[in-house]
Amino acid sequence: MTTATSPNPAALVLVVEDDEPMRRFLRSTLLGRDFRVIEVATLAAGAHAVAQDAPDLVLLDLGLPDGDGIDLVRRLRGWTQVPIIVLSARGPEDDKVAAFDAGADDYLTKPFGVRELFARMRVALRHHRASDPPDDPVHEVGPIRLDEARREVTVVGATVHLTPIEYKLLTQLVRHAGKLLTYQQLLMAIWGPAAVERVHYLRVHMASLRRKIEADPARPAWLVTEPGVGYRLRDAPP
Amino acid sequence: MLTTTVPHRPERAPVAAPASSWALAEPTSRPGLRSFLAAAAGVVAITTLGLVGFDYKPDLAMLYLVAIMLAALVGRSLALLAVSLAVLTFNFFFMAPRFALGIKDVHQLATVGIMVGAGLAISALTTRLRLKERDARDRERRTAALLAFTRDVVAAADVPEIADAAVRHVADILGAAAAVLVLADGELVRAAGDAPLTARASDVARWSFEHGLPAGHGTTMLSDAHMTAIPLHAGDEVLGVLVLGGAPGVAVEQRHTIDALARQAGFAIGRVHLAASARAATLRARTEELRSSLLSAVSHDLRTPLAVITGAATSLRDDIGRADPDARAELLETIVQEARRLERVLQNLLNITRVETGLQPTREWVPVEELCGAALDRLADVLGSRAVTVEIAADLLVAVDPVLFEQVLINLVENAIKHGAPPLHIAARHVADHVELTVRDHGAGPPPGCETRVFDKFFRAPGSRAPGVGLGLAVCRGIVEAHGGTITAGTAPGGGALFCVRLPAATPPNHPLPAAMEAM
Repeated sequence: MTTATSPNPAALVLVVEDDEPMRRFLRSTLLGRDFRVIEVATLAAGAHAVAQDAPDLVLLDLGLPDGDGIDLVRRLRGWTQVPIIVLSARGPEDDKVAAFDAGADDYLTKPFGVRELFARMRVALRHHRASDPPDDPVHEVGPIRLDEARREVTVVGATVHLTPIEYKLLTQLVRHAGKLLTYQQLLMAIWGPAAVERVHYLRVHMASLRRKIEADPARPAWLVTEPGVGYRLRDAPP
Repeated sequence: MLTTTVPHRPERAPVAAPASSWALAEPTSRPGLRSFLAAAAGVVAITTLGLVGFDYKPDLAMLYLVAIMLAALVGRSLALLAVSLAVLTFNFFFMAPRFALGIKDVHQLATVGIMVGAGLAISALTTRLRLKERDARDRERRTAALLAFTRDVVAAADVPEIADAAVRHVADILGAAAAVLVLADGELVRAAGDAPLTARASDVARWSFEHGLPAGHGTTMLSDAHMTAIPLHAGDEVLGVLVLGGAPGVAVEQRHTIDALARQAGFAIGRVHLAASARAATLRARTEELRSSLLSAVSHDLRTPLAVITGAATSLRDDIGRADPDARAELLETIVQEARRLERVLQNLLNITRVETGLQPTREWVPVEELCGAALDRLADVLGSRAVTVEIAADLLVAVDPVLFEQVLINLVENAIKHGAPPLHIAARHVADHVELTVRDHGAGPPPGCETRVFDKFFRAPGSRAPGVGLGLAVCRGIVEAHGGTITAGTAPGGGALFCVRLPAATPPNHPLPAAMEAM
């Protein structure tokens, strides 16, 4: 194990999970990457631990003995912006949407791989730290370079002409590279509250954006879809 | 009580000529006013002819007889009218003393007698002829009705259809409302027909059903009732009752027809019952078969990866002579692969459960290209370096549940990977009034004769060595059908399996947002 790639070796992670083997797996994995770990098994203990220990990140299981994890997300969002990654064995996408609506930062469906877990944690921690106004107007994600100051987009060095909507869409995605953005978040950011029901507009613009960004729009490498939930701009090659 | 006859004119095309009246003993033709006027005019014309100068009286008498015969062809009452008119006018105008009624001698009496006699005889003969012809027509109509009924009943797929045909044909034959009652949960319930059922009528029907004998009006049992109940037999078993509502009386011939119809209806209902119980038996056997194949498939498909994982993991833990880092890496990779396989099996088991408990797709307009991209992205590990070509127009939208439909694509591509051979080809386009999505590979194609069965749960191609429970395609079919579409399997021209999903096309809502919202 190496700590070289760990996003923040000193970061404190709160694990809210009632399943003992799962906790053991998370503990050993996180400790192996030099994270500090607090473990609790209930919602109540989770809320308490967030207030007392001020963790840098919360890994939250949804099905807990004393209630639904989504309630905890909602409660925490009342007073803290600590990144929350929801872990759940539940499949249906409604759950994911509900978790995002409540204010979760990302979502991992069990079973998940360690690489996936660390990728999500890295993104969540980075965005939390950079939640202040972006100091750097230039975003570089994979082959994509977006310069907000000059309103310029290049892919592998070649200038790409985007419509205003496509530019706004890509700006949202590069600002949150690696993070899943729900349809609602994107619609809200681009068109405002009147448009949140018009998911298919978003899909159509996304399709044309892919044509301009992706080498093979039918097998996107960067602008990936999470069916029923939203879009994610990968921050590393698949 | 059923005291009024409900004139029942079926809305469907009658299978026979318009119904005859109820009682057949006397043909009651009802010549219209026009016929009467025509008869009168005929007599007047002949009379005028005589007055104008045609004064050969015997010929004139013959002409009157012709008029009587013509009238008799129309109806008996008309014939009688013609006879009276002819005799009166002949006597008044042409017998001495002319322009007065009366009979002067035996000669004249004979003339009048012959005219009346011949007139009546002609009328009687013609009437009988007409009666016979009508009988023949009626018989023919009844035979035709019965034949038509047989045809309908043979085509009928279930009891309500048979009952409906019976009611319709009874109405055509008798012109009376009817109903068919069949047994359901121990009660006689109406399967078809709108004949009113009073409490008394229900009692009569139940008696007829329980005793297997006709009852009610026109029978020997409970004949005070104003309706008739005829049991519907299939062999020794009584399966229902045909109720003839408000019939004032049934002629013998019609009675035979109705009896024949009831017999046929009984047999038809019996046939449907037999078919249903045969189907139920097949279903039971099939369910048993499914259960055992589920058990064997699940135990095999869950145990095998679990066994591999357990073996590899314990081997790593105990580190029995495996210091070699390559071997360790291989074991670790095996664990990961098998765990993923286990997850896919479970996912499909969950999916088939969702499909079977009734899916309610949340439809959204989605570009097919996006669905395909998401599915291929999800399968990136499994696909490896296999070539996949995609041919989908960027602006092709379908109204589907994106999550469920991604699963359809995932399962189709996985199926092609497991059972087919690369390169894979995925295409979607508009074809007439639907959207057609095809997944094609270059393997051996579906086993001949199994093109439909591949979508059955737990179906495994004979001799197939590929891992899997046989749920992936069943899930596909369930999801596609929940969207009102169809899915078929076949062999592509040039070989390889070709799976084709067809969805009804619709027009997506206008896509550009208002200009104001486009503004940055």
